[in-house]
Amino acid sequence: MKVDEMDVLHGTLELLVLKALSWNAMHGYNILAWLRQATDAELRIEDAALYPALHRMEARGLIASEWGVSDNNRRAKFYELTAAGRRALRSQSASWERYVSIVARVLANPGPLGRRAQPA
Amino acid sequence: MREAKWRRYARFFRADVAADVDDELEFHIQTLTDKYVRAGRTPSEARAMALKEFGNGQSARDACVDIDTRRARAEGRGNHWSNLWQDCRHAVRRLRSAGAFTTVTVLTLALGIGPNIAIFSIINSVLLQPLPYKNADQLVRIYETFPLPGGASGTGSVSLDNFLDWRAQSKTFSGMSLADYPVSANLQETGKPQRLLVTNVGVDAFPLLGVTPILGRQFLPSEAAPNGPPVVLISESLWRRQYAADPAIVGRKITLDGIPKTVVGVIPADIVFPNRATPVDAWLPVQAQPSPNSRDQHRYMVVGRLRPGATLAQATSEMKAIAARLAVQYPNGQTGRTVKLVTVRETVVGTLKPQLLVLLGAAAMVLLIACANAASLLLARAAGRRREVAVLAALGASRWRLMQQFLCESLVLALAGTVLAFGLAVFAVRGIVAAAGTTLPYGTRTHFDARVVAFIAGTVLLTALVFGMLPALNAARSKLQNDLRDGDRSGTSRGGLRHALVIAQFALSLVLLAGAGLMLRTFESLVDTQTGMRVDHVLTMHVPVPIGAPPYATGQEALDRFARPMLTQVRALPGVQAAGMINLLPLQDYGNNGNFGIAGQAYASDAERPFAEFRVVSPGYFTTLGIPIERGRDVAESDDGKTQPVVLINDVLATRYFKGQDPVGKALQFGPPSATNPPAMIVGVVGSVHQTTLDAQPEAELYFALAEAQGRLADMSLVVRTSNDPVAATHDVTGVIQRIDPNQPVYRAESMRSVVTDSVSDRKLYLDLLAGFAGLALALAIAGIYGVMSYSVTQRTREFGIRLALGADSGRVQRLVVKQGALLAGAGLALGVPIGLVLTRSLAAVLYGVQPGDPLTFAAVACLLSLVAVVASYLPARRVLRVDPSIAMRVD
Repeated sequence: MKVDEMDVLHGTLELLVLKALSWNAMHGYNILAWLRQATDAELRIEDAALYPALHRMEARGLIASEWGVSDNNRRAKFYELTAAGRRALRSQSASWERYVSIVARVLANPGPLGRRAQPA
Repeated sequence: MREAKWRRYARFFRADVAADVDDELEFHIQTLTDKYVRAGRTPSEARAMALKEFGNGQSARDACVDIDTRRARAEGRGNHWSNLWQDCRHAVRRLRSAGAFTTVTVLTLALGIGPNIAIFSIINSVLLQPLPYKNADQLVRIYETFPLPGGASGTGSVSLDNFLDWRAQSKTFSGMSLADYPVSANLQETGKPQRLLVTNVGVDAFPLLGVTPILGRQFLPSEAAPNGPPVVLISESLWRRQYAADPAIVGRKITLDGIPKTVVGVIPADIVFPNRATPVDAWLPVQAQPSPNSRDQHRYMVVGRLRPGATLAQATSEMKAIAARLAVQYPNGQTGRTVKLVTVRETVVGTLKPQLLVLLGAAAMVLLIACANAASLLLARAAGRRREVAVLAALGASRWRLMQQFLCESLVLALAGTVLAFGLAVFAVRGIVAAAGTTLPYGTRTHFDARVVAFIAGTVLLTALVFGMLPALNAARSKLQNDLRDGDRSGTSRGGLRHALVIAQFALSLVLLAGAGLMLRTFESLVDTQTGMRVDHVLTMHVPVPIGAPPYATGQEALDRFARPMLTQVRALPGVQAAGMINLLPLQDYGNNGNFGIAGQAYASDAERPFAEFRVVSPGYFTTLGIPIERGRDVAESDDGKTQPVVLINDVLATRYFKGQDPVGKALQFGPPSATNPPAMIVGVVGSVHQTTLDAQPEAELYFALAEAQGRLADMSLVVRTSNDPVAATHDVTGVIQRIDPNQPVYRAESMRSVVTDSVSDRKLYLDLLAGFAGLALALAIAGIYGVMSYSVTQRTREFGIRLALGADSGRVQRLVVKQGALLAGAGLALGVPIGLVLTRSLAAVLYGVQPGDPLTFAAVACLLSLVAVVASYLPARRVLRVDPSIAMRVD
């Protein structure tokens, strides 16, 4: 584990998975591999933790799964976006971007003036 | 590690959640392991590193299993039903595009299901519906039994005195009432005279039965008094047809047999008491009291209601004890007499139950045969759809889902067949009830209640499963690769299945045809029975002459002014050869008999006295029916009771009681001898006839002269021998009657031949139904074997092409096909004969003149079926002639 890895912010793993699957169906290992590559391995995602997230998303109808054969010729479970998942990706990325920009705006603000007594 | 066997089945029905999660996580760990192995680690090192990197696998696994289990549970059912619905909609679409297949299959199923619905709705109406009486299970008919020569006993009616004693002494019955046998009465209203069926009932009879008038009131106890008020209860159907359901009918007077009677109430339409099948139009109160001779006049039927908790057995032993006391008290008339108790339900349903169950069994067999045909059709269709099924399976359709698709198709077909069958059944039940006459109890009809609906639903499901299961299983276990390649053209296993179906069909058809054949032989034996009469060219009709009211105050008046002129004028009609009258026409009416004495012999009790049927005839009756007068003479107009009373006997009586003597000139004594009751002299001996039924032997019989017993004119039958069609003479004969008395109705005009046929109508109905079922079975079996052989010829076109190309002549190839058909049929017959021998025993009770396992019937039926099989195989075999080897071999 590298020192400069960041934990995934609560609730954003789902968005990342939706994004990962937006191009084509993938199994869990490939989803992680893609996320590591896309984040230049700067996010810390425990392998095991991905799976409950996937199953939860499947239960909510955002993704669908199907057994298939992987590149290394093993039986693997592939996930793909459902129509609902695609809609969720659109709305969640929009709200994420809005959220990020709000937070960024706040951070760019010089800070509230006049409330605190300025040192003389 | 091998998967546990049961797991495979578990997955067959539903995805195995835990195993799926394990597989998924294992794949991830394996892929990580591979990575480390490639990096140069040993497999065990690599595995350990992979597990470490993967993280907390156990908690991830548990979380996933938990999520998936909840989801499977939530979605399981909904999914299943939506799949089923989807499959059914697909099935409808597919079936609509396969018009010919669908039409043939639906028709086949309708022919199989229809008889079942029809017979079940009759069973429901007759056996399962309650009788229209309150707590009908407590109602019991009580008969008197009387001794017959040879130690046997007869069952008969009850005398008024015995009834009164029973009612007074019995403690197991909460009530007891009585009724007369229904007789005709003339309703004289404006317009055409009408003949009604009326009967006298105890004033407490309807309250006892729990029948309430829909209008007006019950009889009052005071109306039972001798010469009590002239009151009448009429039936709802008479009220509707004659009086347009006029609510003011209560209190009105109607004229019955010339006597005005006040209508006091209207009895609901479903009540035909004391009859079972024939509706009664009106009820009069029994207004009788004991007289010196009345204990020996047995004329009533008695019905009692058991006290709550009392059993039939208790009541029977109590009543027998009472009868035994009466026999001691009145030794002259009561010795040897006792009682017989039968539940009212049994008197109504009686022998119908086993017969209806046999018919339902026969209908079920027809359905099985139809199912075999439908299954065969589906198999053939499935063979054509193998590639489609293989593609579906390759695309991931589970076996269960594939089976479900096939079963949905069967269900849709069965449903469509049932809708059609239902329509057929409604008509069939109407036809059966109309044809049944008095075989089925009054009011038999199709009740569409929950039971019938449940039966139909059950039949649909069962039918769909029975004929759909084989093709569905077959589709589910088909070999995908073979089917996809389309190289497998043999279809041997499916051919085998279809052959098995043909064998089963032939076996079942043999059973049904044997049953019908046995009934046919029974019917023929009955009709061939020597009735003792010449039944051709005879017209019969009932001419009830009311006596005691205007226009005929006495029997003598009715005889002089009506009966004699009528006979004279009828005999004078062109084309009429002879005419006569009898009070109880053979094979139609019966029920008058008794003991008598031969003058000069002493009898200790009635039981020892000779016993015979009593009839009253006019001159000319024997000639008209062709009954030979073997000794002596016919009754004459001069036998009018003013001189020596006379009597004729039949040869059964002569043989039984006058062995080796000439009975003519002997005297018989009826009742106690007195100045007003002199003995009657035997003046002739006539041939015996079957009085009650064709399968019962003729009884000893005595004939009195009409002129001596004019009272009997009340319900006489006229018989007329004609040179031409007897029924065509009806108009002329009724014309004569109308000219003599315009108010005189006649009823039930029919030829004597149809009287004979009617007397076996219950068996005729049974025969017709069994024959109908057997005919259906035969038609279905023919269609079945024809279909299978045609299909087999088509399948083997290439083989035949090769054979022909190699020099086999077409005749030989054809014989090959016919031989195959004959072998299938033969196997079916070999299977069917033992089944038939066992099952036809259920017919034993209705057979006459033939045994259940009759070899001739079985042989004839087997021959018929073999012939049918050969012809049905020969027709497709002829197509071999048209096979062109060069083309046939190219068929891919």
